[in-house]
Amino acid sequence: MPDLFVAKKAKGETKSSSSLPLNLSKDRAGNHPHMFTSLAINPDGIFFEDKEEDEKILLFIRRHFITNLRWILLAIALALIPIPLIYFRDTFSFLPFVNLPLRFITFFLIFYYLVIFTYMFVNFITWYFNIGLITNKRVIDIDFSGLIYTNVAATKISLVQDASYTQIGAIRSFFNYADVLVQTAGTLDNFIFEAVPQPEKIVKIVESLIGKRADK
Amino acid sequence: MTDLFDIHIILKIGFLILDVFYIIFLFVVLNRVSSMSKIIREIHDAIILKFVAVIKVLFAISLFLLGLAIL
Repeated sequence: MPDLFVAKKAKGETKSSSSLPLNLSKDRAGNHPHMFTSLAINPDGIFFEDKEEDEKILLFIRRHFITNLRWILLAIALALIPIPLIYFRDTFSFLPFVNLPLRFITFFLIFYYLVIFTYMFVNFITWYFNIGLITNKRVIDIDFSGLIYTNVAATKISLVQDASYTQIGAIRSFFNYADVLVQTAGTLDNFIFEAVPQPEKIVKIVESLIGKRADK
Repeated sequence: MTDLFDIHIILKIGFLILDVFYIIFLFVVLNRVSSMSKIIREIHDAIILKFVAVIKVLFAISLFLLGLAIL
């Protein structure tokens, strides 16, 4: 039977992009992830341990950057505390810290700000290295919590059974981020990508990958 | 006067201990950053280098403080 309507091929469309799942071939946004990227589709130039030659990263996921707001505000508040203490030194003269020699106060202040900066730095690298990857072969979850815990979990895409997301709360709705659950077969662990942006897009992509498997 | 002198010594020792702990902590952070950069890395590895540079600056400041505490 002849086709009544055949969609025109887009100018920039290449062979490799047409082999990707539905949403990925169209959406090329965020291809070059930067330092603060939370979600990148088809990211370029990201490598991970044990990556196979023909393995292609389809999704690169981090927590939404807005989830960092709490520690940023806390660090700002902590950084502001010594300013009134120094400015109104006479008023706070009842505090033993204020009456110390200037040398000790200087030392203490430098050390105090050093600790605050380190607190921010550690929180940032915790966010930065907490990554979820979805490739054409696997789902990988790299958990980097604190400075003593790292967990790298991976499962084959053929073992993924379902994907869903839970979005609770006004802030999550406003900034459009949620927890994405990727369910695997049998007794294998499920994958939870916490507070990831554009969850519906991630779920659609995972579902299209499962569909792709079923077609084969 | 003696009390004040004692307080100074105690403060100096206190700062010294804090600083040493802080330097050990920085070593842990540096180790973690380098181990994580082996697991996952982006093509612009400059970010990891920036992290390492930041830690080096923190090291320098903490060593300066260590010197200040000793003197």
